[in-house]
Amino acid sequence: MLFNSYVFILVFLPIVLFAWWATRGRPRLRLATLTAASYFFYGYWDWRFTALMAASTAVDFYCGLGMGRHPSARGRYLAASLVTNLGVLAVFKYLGFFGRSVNALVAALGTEPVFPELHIILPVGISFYTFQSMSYSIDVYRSKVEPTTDPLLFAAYVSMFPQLVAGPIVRFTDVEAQLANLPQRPSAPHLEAGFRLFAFGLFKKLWIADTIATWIDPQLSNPMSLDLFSGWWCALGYTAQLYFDFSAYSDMAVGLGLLLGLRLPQNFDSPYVSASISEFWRRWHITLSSWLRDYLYIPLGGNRHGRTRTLLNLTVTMFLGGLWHGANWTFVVWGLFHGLLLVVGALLPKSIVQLVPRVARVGITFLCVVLGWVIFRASDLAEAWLWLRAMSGANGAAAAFGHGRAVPLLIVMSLIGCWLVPNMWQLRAPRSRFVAVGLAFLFFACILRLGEPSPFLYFQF
Amino acid sequence: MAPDSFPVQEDAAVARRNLVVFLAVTLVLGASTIATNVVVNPFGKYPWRVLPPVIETARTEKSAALSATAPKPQALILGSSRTMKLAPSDIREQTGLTTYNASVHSARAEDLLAFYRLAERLDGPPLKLLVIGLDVEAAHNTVQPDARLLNNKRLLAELADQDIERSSLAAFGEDLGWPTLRASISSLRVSPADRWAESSQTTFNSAGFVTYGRDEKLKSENIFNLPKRIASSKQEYVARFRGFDQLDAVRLGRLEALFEAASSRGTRVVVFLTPLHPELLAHLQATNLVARLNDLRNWLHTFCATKKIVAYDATDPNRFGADLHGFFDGAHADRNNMRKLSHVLLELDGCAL
Repeated sequence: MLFNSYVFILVFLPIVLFAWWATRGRPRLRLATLTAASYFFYGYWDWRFTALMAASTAVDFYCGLGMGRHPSARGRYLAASLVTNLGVLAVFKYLGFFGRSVNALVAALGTEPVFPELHIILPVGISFYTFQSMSYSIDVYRSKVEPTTDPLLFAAYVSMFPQLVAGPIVRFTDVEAQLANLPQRPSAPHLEAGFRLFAFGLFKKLWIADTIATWIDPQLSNPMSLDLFSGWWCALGYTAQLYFDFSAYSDMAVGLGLLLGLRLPQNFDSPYVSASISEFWRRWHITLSSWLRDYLYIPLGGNRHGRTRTLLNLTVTMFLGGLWHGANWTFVVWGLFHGLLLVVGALLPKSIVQLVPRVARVGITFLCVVLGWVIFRASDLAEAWLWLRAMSGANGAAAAFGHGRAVPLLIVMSLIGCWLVPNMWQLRAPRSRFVAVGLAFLFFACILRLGEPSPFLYFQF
Repeated sequence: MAPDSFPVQEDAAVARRNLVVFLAVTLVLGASTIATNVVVNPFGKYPWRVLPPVIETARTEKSAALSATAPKPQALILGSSRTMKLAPSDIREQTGLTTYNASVHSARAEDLLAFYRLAERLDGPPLKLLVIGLDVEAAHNTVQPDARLLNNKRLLAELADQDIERSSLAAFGEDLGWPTLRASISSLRVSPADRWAESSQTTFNSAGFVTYGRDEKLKSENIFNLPKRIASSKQEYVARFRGFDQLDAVRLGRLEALFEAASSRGTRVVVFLTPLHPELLAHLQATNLVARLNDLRNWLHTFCATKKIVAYDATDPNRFGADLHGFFDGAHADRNNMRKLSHVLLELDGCAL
């Protein structure tokens, strides 16, 4: 189910909010309500995959219990959890990619394909909930979290519909206390803030991200036609689209959490004002970055084993971070590209970096990020190469974009918005009723566009 | 660690007031929009008609007219508005068959199938000739079935096996959507005196042939501005091909069902890819049109052999010697051009794609 759909806004959400607050004296029933609603939300897309999420939840719950009851066997329980979660990811997300890659390799060597062609449906949000579930097992193993004995609470944690399919990736420690002590009555400030974040998020998605998409998608459907200007406008347009699309989802997720009286972590902190790639990753998809740092980079050794090992760890982390986004060589190359940028950033002496004005460093970082998004957006490496070639001017600069001056102007305005407008979660709550009226008009402008639902870009991951 | 601060209004009373204002205004806007759209009823969704339609309602008119046709026509023309100028009288002149033109605006595969089945349901022998003007968009993979089809119970009944249905929520959502509100506003902006005149500009005769009253008058007076019309159709047609990244398998299945049913009844099936003015065609080269046209041609090839259908690619009107001034815009040829096309079509034997 999409947040930007009639069924979600007009039916699902009102029913869930009513059921949630109507049962406020009965915490078990409320957790059951939240879990059932979340499974319905997920199953609305394809009910068969609810079993996969339930299995993943059950395995991690029992592994957590096992680690608590049998401390000496913690390693085995952790291994069971990791093998299950990574196995699910391997089968549903990477097996087909692996087979295609091996077949392409052997075909290049003049041999018959060795793997049958697989058509496995990728369950929506699988990367998000498996990472969330795994973080619990690892935290229990590290004794950072007490294993929960409440299967309902754990099921509610894994499946919470506001952030289920595209994050933020929530740690058990973020919400355990909240789910164990649910708010007893709706708080007007939370509801008001929740609706505000949801409405702004919806606006960012439907009126900014989707509008930009209508400009750039036709161009990118034929990458051979790109030239210097259209290549750059598409790259800049996608840079804005991806930010507004993904941060919109995060705003809406946090807003929905507030409507339920739950606080979820923020996922964006003005990423395009970053003055280095490492700063970018502290501001973009924050919950994934911190997940990769805590559960991958640091266990690999982090920066504790000398410079060479640190650089290798950075590269490996970004390689796997890229692969997390999708089973495609474009994501692998994109991850390695960011790994390389982090390595270069780590090798540059700070004294020299500090000599460069911050505004120039922001510009250079932004340029690197834009080039990375080209690889990220392309459907394959050949398309990425065509696009980058066009941006270099190799295809000339004569082709018209087809939208007059409006496109460049609106893309530039969107990007200026990324740089200058504070994050939604930093905006102070409106005090005036006129602001509330304006927000209602903005929300209603979004409702008018719900007839053209488009999935969020990060659903594919 | 991810930041977890929130823009929460600390003053509960102010927050409560803002919340009430927000919800109340949203509800009022929603209720006003629904009320406007239901009363104006711009798409003919409800039985009442307070104002004349400002959108094309060919499905309503033609499905009613075809159902009442007696005796059953011997030939049927299917297609979109781009086929409406194929005159039944011209087909009759060439073949001697009584003909009905059941072309409707923005026809997709399901519209073609529904009208074919509706025609075959009439009392009488099977159709002898079926002429189908096929737009490549008839197999669009992202555009939903037309609301005007979904609102037409007579046509929808013909598609009971096609898993086409509209949920009540979707129907309700239409009344909250911008397309309906925009149509309502357009309807309300037309002055009462002009409304009926406006709605009478596009008319169909008893054989389903269209007359564009105002445009044909302008043409007869030699003051019709074709370049301007072509220019204004460019943007619309570029938009049509956005996201059209493959032919829709379900819609191809509907076309296949149509060919299968007609062939099995011994009906001669003549399919043509509808013409586009070369200027529009050139403008669309950078879109998905070229790739989807190739896909459709390849797909049609398979039926030429197996179902013995006749197929012709009329996308480039120069191919059948069309007069390039004989268009109403970039996609709608006039009767003379369609007559030239029908001469080519009815002499064909096999595929010319």
